[in-house]
Parts: sequence; structure tokens; C-alpha cells
Amino acid sequence: MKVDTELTRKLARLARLQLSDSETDAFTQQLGKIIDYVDLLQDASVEGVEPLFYPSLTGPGAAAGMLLRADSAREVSSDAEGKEPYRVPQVV
Amino acid sequence: MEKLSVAQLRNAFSTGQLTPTRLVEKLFPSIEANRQNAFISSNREFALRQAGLAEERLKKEGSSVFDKYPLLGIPYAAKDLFATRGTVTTCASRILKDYIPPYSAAVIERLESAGAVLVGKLNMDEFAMGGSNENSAFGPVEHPTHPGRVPGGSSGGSAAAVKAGNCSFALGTDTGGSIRLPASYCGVVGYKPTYGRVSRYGMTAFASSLDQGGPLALSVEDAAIVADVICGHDPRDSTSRSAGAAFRAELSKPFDWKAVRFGVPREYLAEGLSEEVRLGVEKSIRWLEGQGAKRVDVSLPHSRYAIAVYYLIAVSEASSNLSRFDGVRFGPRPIEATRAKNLEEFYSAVRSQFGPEVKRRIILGAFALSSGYADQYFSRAARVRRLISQDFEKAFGQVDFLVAPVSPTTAYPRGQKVNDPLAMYMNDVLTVPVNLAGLPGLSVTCARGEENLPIGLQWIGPAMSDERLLAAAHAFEKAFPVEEVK
Repeated sequence: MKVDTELTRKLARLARLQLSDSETDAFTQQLGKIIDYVDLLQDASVEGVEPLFYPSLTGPGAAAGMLLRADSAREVSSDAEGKEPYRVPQVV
Repeated sequence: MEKLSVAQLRNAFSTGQLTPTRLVEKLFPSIEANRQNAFISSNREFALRQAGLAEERLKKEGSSVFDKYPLLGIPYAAKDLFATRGTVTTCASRILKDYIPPYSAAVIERLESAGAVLVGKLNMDEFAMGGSNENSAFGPVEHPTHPGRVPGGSSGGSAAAVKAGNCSFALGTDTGGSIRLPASYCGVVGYKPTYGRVSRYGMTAFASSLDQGGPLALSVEDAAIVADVICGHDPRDSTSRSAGAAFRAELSKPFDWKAVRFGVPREYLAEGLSEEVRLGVEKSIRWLEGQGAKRVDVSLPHSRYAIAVYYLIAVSEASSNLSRFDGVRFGPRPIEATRAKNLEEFYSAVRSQFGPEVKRRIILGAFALSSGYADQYFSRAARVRRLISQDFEKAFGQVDFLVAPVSPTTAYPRGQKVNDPLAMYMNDVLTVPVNLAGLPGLSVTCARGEENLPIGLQWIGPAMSDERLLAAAHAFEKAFPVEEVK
């Protein structure tokens, strides 16, 4: 699997990360090595094997839901800046 | 340092030799001097207030108060990804610099209810991503007894603070070894519970199917006392197990080694292990056999894929979890963000505050989940994860628990691996499988290597066998002589 700077830049855009040229070059090289290593998984025999996303072969079991008291909006947004806490640059 | 054990402190408080506030006053000069850079923040006044409350309870109720408040007056510190209401929680990142959460993590609430005294928040690899505590925005953590060596990570501050005598125990988290590895490197006990036994509510997520909080302490007994407090169902965490906790009860039972079968995974003693680690682990194994425990050689044949599986699943989950750090609802907005022309530029400017290891893992995760690659990488990794879990299930059909090394080497010099991410990742080869399978694991010092560096013995049990696992490790710790291996 070839990793080049074009792929690194595309992935950075997907992840909303800004990389400098030197970061792009360094990450491209490092990612290349890591992806070369993880490619060893292609040797594993996985036919008929279902993916495991939860760390237990018996599954998560049912979890009861719980209604939580809502915290005040002001307290939850206390760390945000400005009077209108969620103001961001105009999108449209 | 031994004087900070929970049992000894309770005794000192009960007899009046020491008071919780006097203890806080004795500890704080060293905490504030912060010689190992183990602390990101500490708060003497807050700690004194909690210690004062503990003292009032003790005066009113006498020594029976410890039945109701098992950690009354005991000083502890928490890895800085546990939310602590009203005090800064940074995850060792610039992107959360000065962030003050409006709530506390479930484990913090439980420890407060048990009377424990929080003395500070601990340094860590940024967002728990690292194995050496060299990736913090607040500087690296120094090894507590061997300056110039890494303490291990990502809970490096937690291990260093306990070993340096700044607190009785610390909270850490373990996603791929981040409690067990620093515990092994620094010579303390580190316990990672079965996935789901400790609530992740308020614990900043790195990889949601792998993360688990747990204690680092001076002894297995102390870790068990903390475990009794922090383990338990929490409906605010949908992955929380419904079981309670009975650690002290299990440890108090007589332990019969003759009734024990233990496994040694042959893949974990293969090539790549340093000679001193091999000698330390083999000596421990011979001792267990000498006590009458039956050794069974087992195989975990898919172990060779574990690092690849981990570094695809963990980074994929991380890239999703860290997408919430966008500067909109919380966190600092750097000047470039305030000048952004559109939302995409705003996000990128805010997220430039991540350190390089975090960016690297987010990008790798984006790769593993991206269209055209998700099936070949992420989904395939999840399939091999099932094979790894099945290996453990088969092994536990033959044995009660497994013993193995924690790490291929002892604590290495700072700077040795920081510029080679893959070499750093390979160091987790013996710990990540436990997280992939959701099993309990702990590290207990079993030997000393060159320059007297500690070597940890890893104990791995079936899911939900935590109490029996700690009982075995406690019996080992009480009787096994820790010596230098040559």
C-alpha cells in the first residue's frame, strides 16, 4: 500500500487537521511504515469470522437506560467563549 | 513510601499518630516541587478542605468510620483525563488548556464518597496516546528513581507520583497497557479491570472499546481496596457491567496454590524479550510451581497480529472520539481560529493545537475508516480481534489465569523511541491483547534488572475474574522475594 503526500493531505482534510509541509512529509513517511506493518493482517485467515467491536465474545448484554437530570445550559456552556457561546464563522 | 499504604495510614489516623490535614501539609511541598513533572495541577486548599472533612468524620465516628468510608483521608491523584468539577482537566493537551469541566467523572465521585483526598491531576501522554509519557504538552515525566529514563505511559505521572511518595494511590487508564506498563517500569502495582467494571463516565475517551480506568498503588492490597470503591455499575455508562465488587473479601481468604492452574503463553516468551526480563519472569514461574501451582504451556497463536489489530482499531475509534474537539462548545480558540474565514478553517486552526502523536493517530484512524480502505483495514482488524479473543477463551479452558512479562525490556532512556512511532508501538506487544479481549490484567514487580530497574510480572485472567486474579497476585507479592536477576 503506497502512502504519498497526496493521501496524507486528503486524510488531514477529512480529519480537519492542518499540517505544515514538513509535517506532511514526516507523517507520510511514518504512515507508510505503519501501514506496511499492519498489512501483515492480510495474511490472517478470516473467512467466516464475524468482526468483534465490543470486547467480549458474549456481547454487551442489555443496558438499562436512565433519564438524567439536565444540567443547566449555562453551566454546561460555561467554558465556551462569548455571550453567544456557540458562535462560529459564517458557513453560508 | 511504605508509610503511605492505605492500611498503615488508616492505622495512623485511628491512633492519632497522624491526621489527614497534617498528612496533606507534609505531602504538598514535594507535590508542588514536582521534581518528576508528574503533576499538571495541584490544589493545596482543596485537598486541605477534603482532609478537614475527613478529620471531622473520624472524630465523630471513631475508627469504625472506615467501614463506611474505606478511603477516608487517603491522599490520591488522578490522571488528567478524569473530569474533576471546578478544576482544570487538560488531557495533557493544549486543546484543553485551562478547561474546567462542569461535572466530575464517576470514579472521582465514588472516591470522594469514600472519603479520599484528591491532591492533584497527573501528567500523561496527550489524550492517553503514548507509551513513555514523552508526548505531553506539559513536558515529559521523569522516572521517579532513575532520572533520564522514561516512566512508561500513558499513565506515567500516575506511576511516578505513587513511587515518589506524593500520594497513596493514583488513578490511571489503560487502553493498550497504559497502567500496566508504567507500573512495571516504575516498580508499583498497576491494575486494569475487566472492560466495563469501572465506569467510563467522565473519563475522556481515547478508544471506547478498549479504555478502562484503574488504580496504581504500592501493593495489590491497596489496589484491591481502591477497586472495591471504583468498580460497580453506572447507568450513565452504557458499557458498564452490572456486577458489584468483592476484592477485600477475596483477598482475605486463605490462598491455596495447589488448587491453581496457571498458563504461560509461549508466544509471550519468544524472541525479542530482554534476557533480564526473561530471567525475572522464569524465576517467578518456577516459584509458582514450587508453591504447588500447576503450570500449563498454552498458545495464543494470533498474538502476532495483536499490534496491527490494536493500532487500527484504537486509532479508528480515537479519530471519531477526538472529532468533538473543535473549539465550538469548549476549549481555547487560538487567534488563527478567531480570524478564520469559514468553519473548515476554524476547525483546522483549533485542531492545530493537538500534538504530533495525536495528529498521527487521528490521520491513521481516518485512513483505516476511509472509503476504499475500511473493509481491508478496520473490518479485517475487527475480525482478527475475534480470533485473538477466542485464543484467550481456549486458553482459559485449561487454566485459571496466565502469567507473562509486561514489556520486552525495563524502562529505557528518554528520547530512545520518541522519533520512531512504530518502535514505540511495538513495545505494547504484550499488553494490547488483554485490552482487545476486554480481560483484567495487572503488573506486580517480580525482579530487578540492570541498574536496579524494576521488572513487572503480568497477570491476566478471564473476564470478571478480577477478584480471584488479585488474590493470586496478592499471595505472590506477600511471599515472593524480589531480587536482582543476573
